[in-house]
Amino acid sequence: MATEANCDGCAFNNAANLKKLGVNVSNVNFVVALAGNPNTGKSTVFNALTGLKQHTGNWPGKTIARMEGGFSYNDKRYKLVDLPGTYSLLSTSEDEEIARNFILFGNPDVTVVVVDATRLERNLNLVLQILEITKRVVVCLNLLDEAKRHHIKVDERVLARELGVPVVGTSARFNKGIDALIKVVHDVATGEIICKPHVLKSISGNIRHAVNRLTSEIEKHFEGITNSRWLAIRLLEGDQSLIEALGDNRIADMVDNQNRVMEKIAV
Amino acid sequence: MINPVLALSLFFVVLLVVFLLFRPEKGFYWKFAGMLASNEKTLMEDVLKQIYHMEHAGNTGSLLSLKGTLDISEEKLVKVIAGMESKGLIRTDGTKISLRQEGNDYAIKIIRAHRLWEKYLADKTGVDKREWHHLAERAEHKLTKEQVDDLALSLGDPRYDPHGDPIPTSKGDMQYIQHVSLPLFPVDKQGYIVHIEDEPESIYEQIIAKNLQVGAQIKVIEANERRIRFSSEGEEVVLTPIVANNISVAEQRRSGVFRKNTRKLSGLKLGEKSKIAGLSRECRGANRRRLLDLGFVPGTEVETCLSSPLGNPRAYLIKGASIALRKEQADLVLIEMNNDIAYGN
Amino acid sequence: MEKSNEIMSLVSELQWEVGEDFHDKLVEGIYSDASRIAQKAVLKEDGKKHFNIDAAIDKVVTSRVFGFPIMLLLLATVLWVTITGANYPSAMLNNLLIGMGYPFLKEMAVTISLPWWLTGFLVDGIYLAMAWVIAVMLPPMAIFFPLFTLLEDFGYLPRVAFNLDRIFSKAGAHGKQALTMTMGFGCNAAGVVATRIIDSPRERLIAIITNNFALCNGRWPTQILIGTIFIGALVPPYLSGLVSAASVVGIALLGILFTFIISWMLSNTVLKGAVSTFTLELPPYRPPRFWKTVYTSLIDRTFIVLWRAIIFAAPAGAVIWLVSNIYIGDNSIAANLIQFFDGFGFLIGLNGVILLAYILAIPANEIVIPTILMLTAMVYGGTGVGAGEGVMFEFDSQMATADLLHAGGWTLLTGLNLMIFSLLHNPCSTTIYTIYKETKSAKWTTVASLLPLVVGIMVTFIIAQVWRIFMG
Repeated sequence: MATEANCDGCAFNNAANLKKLGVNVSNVNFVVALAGNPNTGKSTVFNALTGLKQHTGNWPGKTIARMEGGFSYNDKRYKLVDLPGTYSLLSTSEDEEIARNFILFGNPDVTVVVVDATRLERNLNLVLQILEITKRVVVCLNLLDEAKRHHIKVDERVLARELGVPVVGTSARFNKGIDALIKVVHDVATGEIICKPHVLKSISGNIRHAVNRLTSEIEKHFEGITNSRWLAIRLLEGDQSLIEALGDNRIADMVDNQNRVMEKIAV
Repeated sequence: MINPVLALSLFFVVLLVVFLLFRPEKGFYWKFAGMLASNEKTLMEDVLKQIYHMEHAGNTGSLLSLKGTLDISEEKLVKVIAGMESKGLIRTDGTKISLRQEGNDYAIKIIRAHRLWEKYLADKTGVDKREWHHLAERAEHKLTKEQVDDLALSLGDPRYDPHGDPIPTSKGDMQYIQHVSLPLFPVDKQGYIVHIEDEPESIYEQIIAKNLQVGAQIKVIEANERRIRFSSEGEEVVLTPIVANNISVAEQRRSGVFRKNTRKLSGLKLGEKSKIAGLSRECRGANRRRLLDLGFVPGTEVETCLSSPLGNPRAYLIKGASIALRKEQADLVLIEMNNDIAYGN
Repeated sequence: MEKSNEIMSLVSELQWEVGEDFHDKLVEGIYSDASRIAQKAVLKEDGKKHFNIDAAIDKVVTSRVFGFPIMLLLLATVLWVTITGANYPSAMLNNLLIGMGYPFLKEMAVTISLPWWLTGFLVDGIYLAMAWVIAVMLPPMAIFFPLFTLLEDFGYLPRVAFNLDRIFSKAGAHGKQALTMTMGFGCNAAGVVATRIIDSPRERLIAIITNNFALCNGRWPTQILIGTIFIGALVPPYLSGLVSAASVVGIALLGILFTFIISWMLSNTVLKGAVSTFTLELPPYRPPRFWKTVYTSLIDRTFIVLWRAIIFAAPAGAVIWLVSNIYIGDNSIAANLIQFFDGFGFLIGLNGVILLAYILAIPANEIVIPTILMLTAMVYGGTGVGAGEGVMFEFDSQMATADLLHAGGWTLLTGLNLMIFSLLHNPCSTTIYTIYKETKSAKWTTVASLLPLVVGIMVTFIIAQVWRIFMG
């Protein structure tokens, strides 16, 4: 379990190690995707990490196109990709497609999911979906200041244990918790923290059976695949772009990459 | 120097001509284009489909009955039928016309294309439901078998079209549900709508106007020759038997539809709370997905928290967020009936 | 390939087995896991009822009584602050860039003895056009956008969309279009970018195509000048300020009317097949961080739009200078073109000068008036006015402008139709480019560019003919 990732008491001082690189994203060691529901302060987290000044309105769904920025930490250079804010990755709108395809085919080394601490349940919908696509996830529990104002407390340790991935509490508007977030992202990227993500439990009766059958069929064809169940779900939904990806070599490439990363971390 | 009166009249004449040519649906240009498109093949396929429906309803096809329903000249019809016979699609026996196996398969293929296209229009586009049938009538003649199969795959191989008719599989199987027409359904029994006939249009419009939908729960309160009175999703509806005849109803099955008594979210007053029972079948495609994503899933607590100054839209508190829905959307969200609220009010 | 076929045939088989509730059941399953986890992780403080400030604000700003007055008051305040606040910096910039910068550059050119044509091309053409765009455009945008952004960051704007949605839904549009339209009053290009907040494809396209009907700040000066000269002059002097202001507001309202008409037409014809969904989340209020908001809105909105406008204005300035200084036969290209457009211009109650000015000034509405004055002076022999032959200029006094325009044969009809045509014509090239970037579709970009122009030509044509029947 990766609960120790959430080490509130750890003595680390990142400020000296962190360099904001703005739009300079050349020669990066790791790619980090930034996902999250609309209006969770995702762009604020992006700005806090990169030092860029992307405007962030108090509006659900401001970022449509992908924004990129960079930072470096402990001699490693990171490219941060801000994905459109979405409620889900299961629907058909354009912004969801951009986010979904990037997490699936863009091979991010870490995906940070920004979550609104005041509306945890509705945000977990997206987190659980992302955990199906990629194993290397860090949950950024943002808006802690607002949660406090609304008398809501979230137990980060319980959340991390339940999700099987590190959880970092932040108030990005006031630059709080960003250092800890970077440290954890670094640890996940370098393989110091291995995530064991939550597995969906409540899928019911006949659809569970169908999903399981297709999952094992996919695993038979693609050895070492880590997100076979997500593919099974999307194929059963008739995702046209995934059917095409199966036809050309993109799925095979994705699996190769997953295997490579597993080896890298094992070493 | 042009005379202004002349210039103005010329302008309006041009405007009128353009309007007559290109106005939606009824413009002469569209009619002309439609006429060009309806060739021998289209006509033949329409005839095949018609014979299939007649046979399916237990009648036999004849020249006379076909002429009545298809609205074409007898001369043309005779020619088409002769052509079909020579292709081995149908056999004629005196005035009786019946399908051979090949003709039957062909007809089912057309019906598959038609119903899948309606499903596609319902789920993946914003086309109004009044136009589904009409557009599918055109598309069914153009789609190839491969296109139809790809379409089925991307729609998740649906079993029923949006009107509740079964979609034939690529092998030609269909899943019918046991049903009766609404006037024949027993009083005071729980049922649900399985099919709404989309022809003739005038009757279909009346049914749509009452907000009745495939999948909606119903309970007949009163049925006689003058009127059928029943409740559907918490609202009382009265129809004439002629209109009600185009609605098919089946007994409540155990899963898939809502067993509890439900009503519409739009009826939830400001400050009242309830629980989501589910989304109406009529909530489709992108709209359905969006509502599910936003947390409108069964068992979730919901409260009407705000109304805009003009009364519509309203905002609902769900899973900690305040989400605004228009009335026609809130009509499609079903909530549990609170015990203290009388049924039907 | 083989792999994919085997998998797909199983998919096809299983799809039939799972039926149509697949997606529903999946989402329900995910949410029930989410709710279980949330229950374990979230600790609400014991059931004390806390005062909910958000709910209290919402009750007021969406109430039947106060909802609309608050909205109008805020909008009026933002516009008033913008208009009055922009006057001074605008005049200052004008003085700096055109009053001082321009002669300075001319002198410089003489000192380093540039050939006259190069000076003309660079200073009279490119520099002047850019200077005008900056002077007219920058101050109002630098005030309007930060104010708008503050309201946005506070969380008020979604409530405006909520309040107005009913009205917009009648035209087949989304309540959020109220905001993109308001944004369009600042700048249409920014308004088009703002349509990203509308997540329904049909309603977003409608908002993009109709955004040009919101009178942008590059067109306000034209409206005010012509309104004063032609409409204000109809009434006694003590009323003229009021009447000319009313005429400008009238044009802006006409634009809103056209927004609704065209939205309705689009949603019921060409766009009726596009997917349409409605979602509007009312986010919690957040006190904006004032300076951060002002800073980012300047960087993110004002300067990006200004930069684009400058890039487009520079070549336009060059072209304007070239057509008025290159001669074919006895006349400049401009004079020839004006003659060519005169017939059609007359038909729609305008003239060749205006049409040519609008064609040359596609890049930026800000340079329409200077171009018109220059061309009028050139054609109607107003020598001795302005900065010389073939150079854009503006008069310090409206009297002088009026005299020149009357000398150019302008009547009340010309003025009125110019005001209407200024509202109803193709978007500026910055906006067209932005529309293309947002829609990624040549088809919709073309529709959005030509539709307002066609409407404008038809409306001005009808007015001109009716006017001539009854007045002429």
